[in-house]
Amino acid sequence: MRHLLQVICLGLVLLTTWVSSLTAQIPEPGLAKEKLTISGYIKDAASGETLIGASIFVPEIQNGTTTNAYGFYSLSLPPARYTLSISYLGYRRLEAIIDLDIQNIRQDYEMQLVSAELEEVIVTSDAEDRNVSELQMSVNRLDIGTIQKLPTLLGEVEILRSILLLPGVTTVGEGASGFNVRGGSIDQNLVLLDEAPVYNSSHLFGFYSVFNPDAVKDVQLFKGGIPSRYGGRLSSILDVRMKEGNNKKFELNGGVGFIFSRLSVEAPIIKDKASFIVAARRSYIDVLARPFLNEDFDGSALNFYDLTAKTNWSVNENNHLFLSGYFGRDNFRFGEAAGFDWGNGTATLRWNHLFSERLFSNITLYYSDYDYEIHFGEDATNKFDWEASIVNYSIKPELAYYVNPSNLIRFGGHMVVYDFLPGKAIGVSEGEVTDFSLPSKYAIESSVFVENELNIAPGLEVNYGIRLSHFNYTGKGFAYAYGETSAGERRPLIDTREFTQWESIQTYLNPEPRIAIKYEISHHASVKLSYNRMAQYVHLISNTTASTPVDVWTPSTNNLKPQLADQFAAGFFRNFDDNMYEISIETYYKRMQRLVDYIDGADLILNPLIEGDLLSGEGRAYGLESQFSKTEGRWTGWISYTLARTERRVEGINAGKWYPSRYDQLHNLSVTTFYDLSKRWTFSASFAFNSGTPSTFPTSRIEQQGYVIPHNASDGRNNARVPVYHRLDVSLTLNPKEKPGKKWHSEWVFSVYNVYNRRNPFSIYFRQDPKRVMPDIPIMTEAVKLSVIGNFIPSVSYNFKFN
Amino acid sequence: MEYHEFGTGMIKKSIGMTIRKMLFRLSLRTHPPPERAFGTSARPVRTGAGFPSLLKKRGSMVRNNILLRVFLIDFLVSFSGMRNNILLKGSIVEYLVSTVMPFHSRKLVLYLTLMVMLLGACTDVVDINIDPAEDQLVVDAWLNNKSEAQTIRLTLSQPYFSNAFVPAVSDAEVSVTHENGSMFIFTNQGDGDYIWVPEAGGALGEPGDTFQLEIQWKGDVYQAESYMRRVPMIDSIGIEVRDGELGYADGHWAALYARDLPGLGDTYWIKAFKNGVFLNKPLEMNLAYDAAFDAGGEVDGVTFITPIRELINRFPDPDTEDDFETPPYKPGDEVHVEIHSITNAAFFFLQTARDQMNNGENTIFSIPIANTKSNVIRESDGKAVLGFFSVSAVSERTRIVE
Repeated sequence: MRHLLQVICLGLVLLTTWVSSLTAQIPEPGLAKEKLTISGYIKDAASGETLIGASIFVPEIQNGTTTNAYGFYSLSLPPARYTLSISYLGYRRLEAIIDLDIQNIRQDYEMQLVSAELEEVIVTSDAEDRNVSELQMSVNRLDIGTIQKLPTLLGEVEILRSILLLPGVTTVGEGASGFNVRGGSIDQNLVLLDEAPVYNSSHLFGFYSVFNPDAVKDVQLFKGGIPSRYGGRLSSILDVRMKEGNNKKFELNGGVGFIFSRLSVEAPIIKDKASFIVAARRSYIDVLARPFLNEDFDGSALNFYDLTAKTNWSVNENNHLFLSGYFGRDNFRFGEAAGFDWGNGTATLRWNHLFSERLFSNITLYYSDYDYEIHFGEDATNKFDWEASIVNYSIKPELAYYVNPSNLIRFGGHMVVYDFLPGKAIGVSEGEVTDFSLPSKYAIESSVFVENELNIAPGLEVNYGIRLSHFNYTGKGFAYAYGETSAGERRPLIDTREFTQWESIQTYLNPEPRIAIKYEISHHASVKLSYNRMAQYVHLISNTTASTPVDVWTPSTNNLKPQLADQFAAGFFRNFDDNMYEISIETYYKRMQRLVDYIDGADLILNPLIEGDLLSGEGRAYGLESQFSKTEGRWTGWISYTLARTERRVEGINAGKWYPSRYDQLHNLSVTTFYDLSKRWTFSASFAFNSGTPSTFPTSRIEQQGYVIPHNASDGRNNARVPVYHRLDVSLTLNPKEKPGKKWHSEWVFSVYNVYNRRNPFSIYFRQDPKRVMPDIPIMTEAVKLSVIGNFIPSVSYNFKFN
Repeated sequence: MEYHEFGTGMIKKSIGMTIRKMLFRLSLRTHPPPERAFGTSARPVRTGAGFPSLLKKRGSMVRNNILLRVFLIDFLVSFSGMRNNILLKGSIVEYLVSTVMPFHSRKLVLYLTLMVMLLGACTDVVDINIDPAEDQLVVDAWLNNKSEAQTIRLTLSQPYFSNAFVPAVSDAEVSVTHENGSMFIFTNQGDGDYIWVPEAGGALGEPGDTFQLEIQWKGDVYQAESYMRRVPMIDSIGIEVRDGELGYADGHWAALYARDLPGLGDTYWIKAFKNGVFLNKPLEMNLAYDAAFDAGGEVDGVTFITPIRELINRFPDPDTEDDFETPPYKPGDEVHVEIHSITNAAFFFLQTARDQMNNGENTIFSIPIANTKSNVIRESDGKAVLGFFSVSAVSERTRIVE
């Protein structure tokens, strides 16, 4: 009986697939006479890459559609002659006349990049009105072209760093991995690389991310109004889609920077049918340092690298296969004797299948793995090995049924099998083996969803849906029961039960309703509203300010309940001057339940009774986000400003009262601008300002046995703030003169990070004078500011392209 | 909040200090696992094969390279800080982590140095205004069963930056009662100290006894209870002469050899004295839960693990004649070590205190700081005041460095 719900969920997943294939085969006699369908893919003319979110507008019906994540569109219309007006940011508008009179039409379109023509005349691309017309709110898109123009830290194009310039996205400081969205913690972001979740998106702690910009096609960040096809985390979805690889001709991209070099190759396998991309990066400071090291360091490694690869094959008109993967590692190895390394691996297999012109389906199978290993020991008699991992296997069928231009139904399911290895640790000391391993934990997360995007009246559009998610924490393993104690204390173990493999220990079921509404007041202004409920069943266990690579993920258990969030958002969107300027103003309120927190002195490492050290709390976050962008002309950019508050309340912390969370920032302003100085020189700058993050400061000091111990008289958490943060970065990009028809294109990027050399605080800590305390002299205590980046950092990098 | 940043000279100094501190900290943890045989005395500590020669080269390089001193700073520590977090929270796992890793951290040092040269992470001493809190009574009552004067000190809490002598509470009445009913009156010295002197050869009690503290002050009664736990013998104090090992100044280093008593849950505070001076820096605080750092490891009934064993060497004072280049001991010095048995509550009190005092070492991986938990209760409202009452059994040993 325990498995019942899970079986139901799985059943529904399979059923949806089956039913949809069935419905697809049933001819629709009545409808077919009334309506015909034009469908196909929108692609980049130069590379054959499909374009995500391209707009197809039909003036005759004053309505249209956009391409999905695979570049597919479908429009069902009464037979007539129509004009298709296809537009996509940065591309020339394409107009096509079609005669939809006898039969369904299958037509792919290829669009030309505007910048390719810049040499001759300044042609501006057709600005889009997506800001106003799109139903989805609280979403930010960054195209890779914009990301590449931003000023960089040490010359490396960085995707996660770029999203920090968007409203509502913050970080606790430089070097901290992850990001915080609308008051959520870093583990509340679902980071997807071609649909596979990436559990640690950082290289070198938090300075760089795992995404190789050469292999990335599209980045979307959903902060609110999250459609029901997404789920699993409370605060955001970062959906990173990889390039398919040029299916027209060979292309080589690469770059040389201070930290790492990168190289990518893409080429057709069968022209217009199949292609691949392989992109690799490696840091090489250790290579540069090698001449200074002696042979004792043989076998050492200090680097990080990643490899991203994808291939796709358009089998026929109705079937398209994609296989993509990522593998990356950070290595710290010191000879044979000691090492520490961590990394992610993902693999995604996708099958796009068109059941009909109007029923698009995709089945994704993915595998994702994050693991780390710590190894010490010169020989077999004295060593220590510690490894931990989280592994996912998943199947995810999704279907989209294009009923008519005003009605789109999406439905599908998702099932994930989790295998958590919280810590396998073996110590050998003088030949004696001690095993500290914690047993693996297993869980199955299943969900089904349905959503309906409906154009109710001109200008009024709604997307409503529901996601039903189910979590099954299973054996084999032990389930612990803990006794009650006063809030904030370690709970005592009272009972242990053993479970066999896949025997259900605890299940949870959560309906997650979602709705988003858009009303266009005029062609230039709209109002959007949304509500979403999200459930999260896996948690990152970390109580340090910045998360470390050894932090472990853990499933919801009989003691640790799933986290829940409800978010309401409302926004006003306005475009001016033929969509040259965009304004968006959004406000949100998010309520979070059962957030994970920790008792004072929590023991989180290799502790089998870790749940006894966990606390459960609630959170709330609210704020106002605004963004003003200029999308066209020589001078472009955006200003974003967020006024926000995020707080937590946990029994046992701060006397059970609300307190600001560690990443609370009242004001957050960023200004990002690009200016084309000439055909060859582009200037860009970004400025960031935010309120200081909260921290716990002592109020007084007490003496015990000659030690001075800081003491906080209010026993409060986060009772003070570190000073404000602000920073200016600039960069200049030079495109050397090129002869027409030349195949080698290059650019130099000169950047300065932290131009005015401010030592921004990461934290303030307190200590007694590090010198030995002598009797008869009062003990001195002081506050110390820690700055992770204390210099201005100039850099230069060289990027090239051959095609 | 006002800010005052010191000049680059100050920064360089603090950076140099951090490097050496780091190396020292690493060095504290570079040793083989505990010996298994019962009651073994000190034996020479084995170091990794080929290690000394390697370190010699690296060591001189690090010492001679001013750039390294200048730029190798807290970014580096942030890596070790993460490890430190593991270390302090630890168990035998952490111990094992700590034993081998630092051997080969030198390349990491170089690598991160390059990073840091570019990024320039740094720390600055800053001025901060903190709203003062009300002064509260602080009870500093750590007694033991030694046949010598026992002192309880009563003071008030001070504003964090007051940097003055702590205000004494000199108008209280203090007594300790043994479970058998005998009462020890602590005589007011007028300066915050309250002293009881046992008769020759006498002591407060012995392991297994329970004691009650009572303080009367300004019409309130404060009470606390403590239990004297058992304490193991110190088998020996080992002295090793080190030569050419990075992180170790050439010269004499000491190690404590004692074995945790069988049975889980013994907690100890190990105090070291060099020539009669208690090693009282926060980084020198040496606590043991059974034979290791924490309850989780269940490292029971064996010789104290190496980091604990070696923490009886003083932490250097930079920019004095007692800096990182000076060995902790020289011939003629007296090493005196005491193991104080403490209750688990006292252990957690000291552990929290140490976490608080050393949290800055964890840099970006710092943990939320928490107040120490007192066991002294005000009778009128049942609320805990500040400080702690603990009664320990002590075992001790002294060795003169030859």
